[in-house]
Amino acid sequence: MILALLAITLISAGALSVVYSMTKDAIEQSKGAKTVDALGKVLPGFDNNPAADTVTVTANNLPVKVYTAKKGNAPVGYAVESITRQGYSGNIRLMVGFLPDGEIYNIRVLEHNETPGLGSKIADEDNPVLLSFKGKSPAGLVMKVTRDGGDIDAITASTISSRAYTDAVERAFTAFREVALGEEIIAPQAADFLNEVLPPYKSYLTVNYDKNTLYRAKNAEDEEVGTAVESTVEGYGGPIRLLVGFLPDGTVNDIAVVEQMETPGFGAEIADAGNPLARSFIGRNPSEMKLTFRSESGEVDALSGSSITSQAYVDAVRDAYRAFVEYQEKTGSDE
Amino acid sequence: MNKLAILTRGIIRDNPVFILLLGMCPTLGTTSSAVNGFGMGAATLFVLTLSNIVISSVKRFIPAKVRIPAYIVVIASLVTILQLCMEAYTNELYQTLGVFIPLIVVNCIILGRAEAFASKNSVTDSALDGLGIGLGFTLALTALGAVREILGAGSVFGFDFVTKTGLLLQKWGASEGVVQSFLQWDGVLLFVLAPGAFIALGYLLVIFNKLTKAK
Repeated sequence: MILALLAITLISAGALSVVYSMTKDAIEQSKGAKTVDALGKVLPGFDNNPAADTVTVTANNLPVKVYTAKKGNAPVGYAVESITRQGYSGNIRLMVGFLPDGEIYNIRVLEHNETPGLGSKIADEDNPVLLSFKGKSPAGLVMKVTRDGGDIDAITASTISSRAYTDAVERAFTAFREVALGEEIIAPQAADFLNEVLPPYKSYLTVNYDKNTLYRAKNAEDEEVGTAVESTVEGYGGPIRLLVGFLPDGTVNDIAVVEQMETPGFGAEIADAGNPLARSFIGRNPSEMKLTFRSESGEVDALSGSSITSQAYVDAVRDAYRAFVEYQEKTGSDE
Repeated sequence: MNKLAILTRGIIRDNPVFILLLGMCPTLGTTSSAVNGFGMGAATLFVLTLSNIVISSVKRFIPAKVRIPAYIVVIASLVTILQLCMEAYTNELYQTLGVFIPLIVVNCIILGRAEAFASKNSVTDSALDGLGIGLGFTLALTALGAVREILGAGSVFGFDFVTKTGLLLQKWGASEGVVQSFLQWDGVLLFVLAPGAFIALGYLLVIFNKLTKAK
């Protein structure tokens, strides 16, 4: 019996490796052909080989490839191979073609796993989401689906796929601005949120402590009014950067989200003022709290439908508090 | 049983979807359009026929006690081979069917026929059985896909007949109200989604059984 089973598995494994090596090149070619085909569809006429004129940049925290199409020596368009992790069933890869002035010429879906008949419509010719972008520049659009208050028409019953598509186009536009327009894309600065999370202050000192950045704020009389700690954790759709403002005694004054890539309508609500997670911490000292969720007899209100995001948020606050306490101990308490 | 009977039996008398009620998951999940249903049916037909042939060929070597795991290894390998080939040579269809291709492995029809027929019959008979059942499956899925596409999107095999009718009416000078109701008809969303699949399948079941007067 063992022999029979061994024979079966050996033969299956053998057959699989044969077919794998047979089809490997064809699969690569299909993918490559798809890219070349997409380049041809999303760009106006060009006479160079855009695949030879590429640059990879990081846009909105993910790497994207920018292809330059030229006629003669002048650029006639830029294609960006963009990606989003917010698809309903995984990643979606798009090829977005921009004219030099930022207007979107066309978009092709390179890869997706969305539900056939629903989200898969993003790959259809002239679907509502694509038509919302075609011939327009993202600079003049509110880059959200209409349900979220934006200008983009979603596909019926496929809101999540439509949101993901928009996210990928936004990322493509960021890369376009960086490469084609030479703009320097500056990541959101935590310092911009200081007056949101701290009591009124006159000046602040930036301190790099281990993996965190601390901002010690002082008032006009040179007294410490609070310390804001920046903490970065891995969320559901990418890194989450929080700025937690602590009063000198360790009470949380307020929390701001510097950067996040969570799912709109779910985890992304951590960026809303007065969300349940923030409210759980504001006015409390984390060392006096049971840092688990209400469902586990703790004191933190999670964001419904976003357990991973909520846990990441709690981890970030815990990390910020740790840095706050350690730094205070290092420099002597300021009370 | 003569060879032709084995083949036709899988299409009518033992139709996997309408009579045996097997493989319901891909039936309901991939039939949002006629082309998708057909593609899924064709892929399953391929795997089913091959798996029947392979299992029938090696049935003497598979110990009875471990036959189910053995069948599953064979079926899974065949599906993976199919998946690799589709990704390499029919990339468009591969992208459209997406996750449903690997799900062919757990399609009860394949394991069911392996156990019920291929393990007990000759290679030729098993091949014909696989072909017959596969054809019945493809027909059923294409029919269901067509119904759902017609009702849910106003098109069939991608041919948008509702919009075309609207444009034709417009050319013939029909009233604006009538023309617009054709051009703007978006389909009955219910039939694109799961509940509509169940409903449409239910009606098709009734019709098929009535027509074939199955007992």
